[in-house]
Amino acid sequence: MIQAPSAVLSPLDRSRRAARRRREQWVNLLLLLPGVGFLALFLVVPLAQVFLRSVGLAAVGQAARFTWDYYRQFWTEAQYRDGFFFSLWLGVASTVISLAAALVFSALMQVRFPGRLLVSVLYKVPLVVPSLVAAFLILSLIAPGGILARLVFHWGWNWPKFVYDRWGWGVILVLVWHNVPFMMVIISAVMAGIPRDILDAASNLGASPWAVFRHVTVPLSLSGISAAALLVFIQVFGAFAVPSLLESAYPLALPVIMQTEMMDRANWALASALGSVLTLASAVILFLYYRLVQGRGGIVR
Amino acid sequence: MAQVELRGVTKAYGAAAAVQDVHLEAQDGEFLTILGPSGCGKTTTLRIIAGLLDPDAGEVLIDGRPVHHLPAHRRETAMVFQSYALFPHMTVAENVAFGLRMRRVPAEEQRLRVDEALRMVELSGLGDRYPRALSGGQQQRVAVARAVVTRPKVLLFDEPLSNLDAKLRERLRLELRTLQQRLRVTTIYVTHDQAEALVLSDRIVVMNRGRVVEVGAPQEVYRRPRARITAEFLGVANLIEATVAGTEGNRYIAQTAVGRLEVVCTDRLARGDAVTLSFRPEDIRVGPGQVNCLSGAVQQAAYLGSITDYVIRVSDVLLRVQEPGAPAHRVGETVSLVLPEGPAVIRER
Repeated sequence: MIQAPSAVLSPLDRSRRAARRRREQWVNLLLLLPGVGFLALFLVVPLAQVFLRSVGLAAVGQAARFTWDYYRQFWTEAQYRDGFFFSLWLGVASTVISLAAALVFSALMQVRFPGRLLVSVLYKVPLVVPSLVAAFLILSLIAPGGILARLVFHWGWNWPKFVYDRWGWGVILVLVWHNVPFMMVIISAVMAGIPRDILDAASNLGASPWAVFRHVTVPLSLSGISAAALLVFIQVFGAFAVPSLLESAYPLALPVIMQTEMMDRANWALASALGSVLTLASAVILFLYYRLVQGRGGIVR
Repeated sequence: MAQVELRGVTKAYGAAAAVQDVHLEAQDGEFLTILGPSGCGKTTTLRIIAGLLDPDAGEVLIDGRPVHHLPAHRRETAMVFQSYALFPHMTVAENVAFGLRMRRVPAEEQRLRVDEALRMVELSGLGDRYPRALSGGQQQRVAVARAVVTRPKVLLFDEPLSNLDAKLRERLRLELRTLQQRLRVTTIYVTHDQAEALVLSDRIVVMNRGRVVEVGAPQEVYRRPRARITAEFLGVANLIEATVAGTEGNRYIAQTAVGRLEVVCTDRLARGDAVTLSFRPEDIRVGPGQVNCLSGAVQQAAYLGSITDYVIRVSDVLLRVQEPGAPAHRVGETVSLVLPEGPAVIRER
């Protein structure tokens, strides 16, 4: 006959159980260490240091004194404020344009056509081209003395100013060129996961191809669309290489200003404050993204 | 209501022909079922009618008007998919209203028609739910409501009950039939379930290997199949190969593996003709008799509630025999059997 375990444990059993629990806790901590340790060492510690520097603490070669002055300087001096909004503009414009293009191309990639396989390989080529190289490629094409400018000049036309301009269209063009394939990889994968029957049902119910795209494909791809848009925005918002090569003298993108403050003026505290502003703005956007995805959790697959 | 006609429709995927030279016609308000095994081309045929696939050859006509060149959204057909294909990001009401929105029906009329459609499928009050919050049976009803609300000329069903449990399937098939009779809309229904085909249809089209094998009323194709595949696929059939050994008017002597059988056949047969005789299990009687009386040993006796299903060995042939009620014969027992004189005579072996 099987006996029920006794509800009352002996002191020996209790101590054994406690020892086992302690052992399990240590094992759990050790298992967490690679992931959490990596994050702590390479993300939390540097971020904390950047923030402390931005408020006058842990500054290199200076006496530690808590202050918000560097943040005040960011907000009161036009070059920094304009730099922030210029970076924001580059992020929004590049994301919106890349997204529009990636959506259309991703939808087209769902259609079977001769040569689709070749196109699906070719569109990924920009992914392996470093952004600085991409900038040089586009520069040679659209700069005032570039291939296209010389070509239209030959016909007596003037080439519009796409690089070194106030709105950074050259920068945006390079970033779009680089980011459209990146977005397409994500969005195409999500679109390919939409069951064919659902799209057929929409057609069968009288929806034109555009209506199917608008009312079914896009809403069902929202998870991929929002993730791709978020990743591109944050990447462009903090972009340094392409803006430093193609932007005008004013305004400068915030990461470019940061580099100048840090390397040319050795103003690490201000550079840290600017970096903290960029990080905080990205975190706010990330938070808004998660709110959006959570709100649509049920319908975004 | 509309008449649907397919003329010589052919569709191939690479070298494999999915549908070959299919001719069929559904009359105004008719319930036509396409029945066949998996891969026989029935769903391809349905998708060609809906415009979701383009035929390689042939014509599709609705009310005598060729429509095979029209895209799916311009054909007045509505399809219920095997997977239901409900839009997961829309509520039940939005799903049902989708076709009306695409047709730019005024909002107030949309609301009225959606309410009416949901009432018709007994889902009133569930309009605000998302499909994921519904059971399989309810999802199936939403799919039906979404299809009928647009008042299509032709309703197409692609095995809509195959994902449901047996009990629910049985109930919904009767509801579908009632709904179709009430709406009097021409319906083409694809299934591999012979019971569904028999219960629902005005006529059944049997397909095999991309071709139409036989068309007829349910009783006709069940009782008098003209093709082996029909007899095999529609219910249980004992198929016995035979050679005509003698004739007398419409009575024939057939030489078979179970012995000489007397067969009545309205078709003209000649001595030496090779045919297949199809006996339904419920037509074979266990007991003594004068004509076509055989002796066999019971191999299996399966009690199915309302009937008992026997497997009886006669010579080297296994015969399925069904009798009402509980098993009356034990396994191993030798019994007498009487085969009916009027089996279906199929002119192929």
